[in-house]
Amino acid sequence: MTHERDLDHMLDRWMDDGPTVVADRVIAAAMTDVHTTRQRDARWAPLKELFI
Amino acid sequence: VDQELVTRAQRGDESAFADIAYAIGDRLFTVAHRILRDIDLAEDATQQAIVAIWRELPGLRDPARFEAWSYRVVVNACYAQARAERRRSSSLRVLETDHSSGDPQLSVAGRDQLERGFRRLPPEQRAVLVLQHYLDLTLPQIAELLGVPTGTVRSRLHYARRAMRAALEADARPALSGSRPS
Repeated sequence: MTHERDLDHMLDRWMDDGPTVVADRVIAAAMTDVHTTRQRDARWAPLKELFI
Repeated sequence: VDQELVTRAQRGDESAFADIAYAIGDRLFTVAHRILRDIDLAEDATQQAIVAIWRELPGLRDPARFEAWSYRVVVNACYAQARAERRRSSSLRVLETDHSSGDPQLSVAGRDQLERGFRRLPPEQRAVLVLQHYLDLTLPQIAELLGVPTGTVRSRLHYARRAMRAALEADARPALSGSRPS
């Protein structure tokens, strides 16, 4: 039987494993997309914020 | 993130937004990787989230809420990536698990069991586990971040934890189900 505390402990440790740094090319690619992406009109923003 | 930068980016300042993107990229990616368990998918989700943050930023009424809001956006990007991935591959994908690093107190077998159990969870359940165990958020904080009722978070956590426990316990007793003593 896996106790709740043991499961918490295992999940905490397991989640700490793994990469923590994103490749610069990912941000660079996103910024290229940003350059050609229009921001949403702020007048519609309060309604939109409810859904995102 | 500097709120002045957020305000400038809300008004369309790309240079201010680039500073934000480089400042938040690592933590968005880290959360995406914990949810998706795949570097390529996590990179795609991070890129998608950054573009969505830029597009929707004028709608953020309180710049002080930027951090929590950005997590919501990356979680939604992870849902989209997971759905697209499910459509792409109907067969089970064999993913490599890197055992070269990680906590030495967590055994290789333990990590494999957690990995297998976690991969079977729907993305909504993965997300609440990550927000609770990686970001150390409380249930009400998770509910606010995701924009769902606290009861929904509690329910997702309940099913996720039950599935993870079942995965660990099933792997812990393989001999009982398969073989019978002669």
